[in-house]
Amino acid sequence: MSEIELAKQLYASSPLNRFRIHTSMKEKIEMLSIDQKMNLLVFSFKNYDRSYNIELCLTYTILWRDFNGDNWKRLILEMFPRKVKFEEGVKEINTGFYFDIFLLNGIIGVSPFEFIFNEFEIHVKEKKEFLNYLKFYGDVFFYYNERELIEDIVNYYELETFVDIVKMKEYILTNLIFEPSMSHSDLLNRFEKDNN
Amino acid sequence: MKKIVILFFVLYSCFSYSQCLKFLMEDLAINGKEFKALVNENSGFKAWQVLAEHAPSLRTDLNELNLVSKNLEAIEKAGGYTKWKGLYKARDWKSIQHIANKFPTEEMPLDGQLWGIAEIESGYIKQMASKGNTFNDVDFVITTNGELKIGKKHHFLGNASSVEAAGTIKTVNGKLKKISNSSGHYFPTVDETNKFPEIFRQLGIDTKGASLEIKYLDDAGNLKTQTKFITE
Repeated sequence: MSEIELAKQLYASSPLNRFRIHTSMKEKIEMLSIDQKMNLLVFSFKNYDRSYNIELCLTYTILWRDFNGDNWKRLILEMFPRKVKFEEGVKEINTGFYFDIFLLNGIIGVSPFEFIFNEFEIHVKEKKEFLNYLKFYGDVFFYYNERELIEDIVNYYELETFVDIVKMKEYILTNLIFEPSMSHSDLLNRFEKDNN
Repeated sequence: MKKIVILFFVLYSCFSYSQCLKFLMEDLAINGKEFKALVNENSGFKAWQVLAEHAPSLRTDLNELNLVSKNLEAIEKAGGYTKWKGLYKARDWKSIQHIANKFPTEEMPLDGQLWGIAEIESGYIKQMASKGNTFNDVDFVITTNGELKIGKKHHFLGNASSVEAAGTIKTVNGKLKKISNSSGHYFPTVDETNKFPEIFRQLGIDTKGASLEIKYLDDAGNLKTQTKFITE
């Protein structure tokens, strides 16, 4: 079975949470290579809503917990160009198209923005559109209230999810892949001037 | 008690004898005097029969038993309990507001899903066939007929029409934990969202201790969030 078929099967079995972990699904994910896991995530982020992707990434941390810096950067690049733009307004309020950013900045607690705004593979026009999205919607879409994240993990997921999040944050920071997350206003102060 | 034993034989014509026997034995053993007194009456026993056949989980609910026992004729006229219940709910629903779909002419999404219409028991959302009743931010709408539909895609769930409420909910084993107005197609205003807890309560859902998250656009067009604690 391809990783895309598996992505579809996982979606069909939603809601995903610790009470509904399918051993067969877990085994199938374990057999995927890192590249296949990345393809599965990119497909899910582009095709399914944000709420589902929270379930997916927090129920099956095995999908991303072995990623290295290059894997994370490639995941971000694969999400560009982003089909849902600022111009769509709040109609696409539940889109998964920015879930890579939310996973890194909101859940793991590291900031992918320096990489995005300095990366030559991302077109200048894309950067401007991304900045607009960050400016108007980033404060809500790119952050996870810490208290709510804790409660959600306790209510819906395995406690090991915490361990995987903390370990990944530590790995990313120790290897200087990304900086720690910063506040929305600090982000705008840092990137608005250079990218307008 | 004698009456119950006599009436018990009538149940042959209604549904499986062994299932009925099991239900009645269990109910009489577990439930108190009030239940026994109610089913000892003709109308009360008939109501129990109706519920045991069509809504077994409600057959010992005193409120439902009383309601059904007073409406046996109407239930028969409506063509059975299930049909009557639908009509009763619709007739009983007091509309609080209508929120228009902001994109009513848009085509229905191919990936829309209806997981179920929530049934409520003692303030909790009951298990939905294959989806359970533990949801972390699942899409919902409450229709103008007072149906809480749970699934994917608000445009599909609301059938492009106006609704009483739309957004996402968090529940744990059926207990409501959070309501949000996170729906792009309906995008309820702050005022409309503030009425959500009252609408949920009218459905019989216990909202006490849950949170209400309101997403809104400020004057400059920035998306913002405010969260409130529901105390009722």
